[in-house]
Amino acid sequence: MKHWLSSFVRWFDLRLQLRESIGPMLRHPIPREVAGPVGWWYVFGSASLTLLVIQIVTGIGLALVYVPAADKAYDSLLYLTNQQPLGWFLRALHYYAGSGMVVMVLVHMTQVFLQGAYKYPRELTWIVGALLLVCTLGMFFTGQVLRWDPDAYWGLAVGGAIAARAPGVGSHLTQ
Amino acid sequence: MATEPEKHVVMADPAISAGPETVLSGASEQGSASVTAPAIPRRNLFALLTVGLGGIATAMVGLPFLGYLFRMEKRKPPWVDLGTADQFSEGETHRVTFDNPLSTAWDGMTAETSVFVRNQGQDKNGSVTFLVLSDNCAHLGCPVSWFPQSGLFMCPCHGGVYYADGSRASGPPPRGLFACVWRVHNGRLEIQAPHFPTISDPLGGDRSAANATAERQARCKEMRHETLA
Repeated sequence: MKHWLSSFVRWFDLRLQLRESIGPMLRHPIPREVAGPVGWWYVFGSASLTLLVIQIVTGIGLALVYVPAADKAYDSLLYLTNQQPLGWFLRALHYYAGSGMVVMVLVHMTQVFLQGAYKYPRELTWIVGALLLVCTLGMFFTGQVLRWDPDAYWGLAVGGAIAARAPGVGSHLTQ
Repeated sequence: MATEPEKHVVMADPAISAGPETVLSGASEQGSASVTAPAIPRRNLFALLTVGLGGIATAMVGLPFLGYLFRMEKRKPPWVDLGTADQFSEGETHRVTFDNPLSTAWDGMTAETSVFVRNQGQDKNGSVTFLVLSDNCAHLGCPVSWFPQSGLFMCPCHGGVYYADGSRASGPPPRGLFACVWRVHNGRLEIQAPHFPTISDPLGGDRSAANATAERQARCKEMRHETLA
C-alpha cells in the first residue's frame, strides 16, 4: 500500500516536478539572526495569504447564492443569512476574514517597513506589496457595498462623491 | 535568440564578403553582386508583417473592449412629473419621491429618488417660481433632511447644514445644495431627472432666487437680535 502510494506520487512528480520547484521554497529557513525572539514576525505575510485563500473559497461559495443586482441583492443577502443552510457561517467567515485580511496586511507592511525588509534586493517585492495593498483596500470597499443595505448604499454614494473630487476624470469616475 | 540563425546564414553566404552588420548598407552600393539580396531581408519583412498584422488584430479586439469598459453614455435627462404645481403652497418645503427614469430595469428600490420642492412665490412677471433641491448633500452625497422647526436642511453624515433656500449654513459642504432644472408644463411641475450630483458635475438648476436670499438675510438679522437680547 505504502509502496503503491509512493509510486503514485512519484509518477506525478516526475511530470510536474513540484518537489524540485516548491520544495526549496517550503524548506527555506528563517535567517538565523531573526529566528528566535523575533521569529514570529515572519507569520504576518503567510497569515494574510491564508486569509486571502479563505476569502476566495468563501467568496465563491457566497457568489453561488448572492444576486448582484440592485433590486435583488439585499433579498438574496437575507436569504443567505437566514435560510440557506450554513449561509450565516460562510457570510460571517467571509466578513471576519475580510476585515482580518486588511488588519493583517497592514501589520505585515508595518513589520516589513520597520525591519527594513524592503531594501535591496527586495524593492520590487515592496512595490508589488504596495499595489496589493491598493487591491486589498479596493476589494474591502467593493465588498462592503455588496451588502446593499442603507449603510452600504450611502457608503457607495460617499465613495462616489470622493472620487468626483479627482481633477479631470472625477465626474466620469463617479457616474 | 531569434537573430542568431540569421547571422549564421549571412556569414556562410560567399556572395557577401563584408561582416553581417554591413549587409543592409552594402546591398544597395555593391551593384551586380547585390542584385540577389533584397532591400529588406525576407525575414525582416515577415517580422514586420507579424508585428503589424498582430497589432491590427489586437486593436480590433482590444479597442471595442476598452470602449465597453470606459463607455460614456450621455443621455439627455427626461422630464419627471412631480404632480400639479398648485399643490405646493407658498413658502413650504415638501419632499417628493419618484422613480428616477435614469435608472436601469434592475435597480429596484434604489431607483427611488427624492427632491425638496419649495414654492418661492410669484416673481416680477406674476408667474410662480419653484426651488427644487436634490437631497444629496454637497459634501459627500448623503441624504439631507428638512427640519421645518429650525428651517434648516441637515445632513446625518458629517453635519452639513443648509438654509431653506439651499445655501450653505455650516459644516463641511463647499457649496449649497444642488438645484434641479424645473418647468411648469400644463399646470404640472416637472424637473429634469437628476443624476447623483457632485461638485464637479452639478445639476444645472439655478438656486439664486432673490426672495429666498432676502428671507435668509431677514432670518440672520432675527437671530442676531435674539443673541444680543
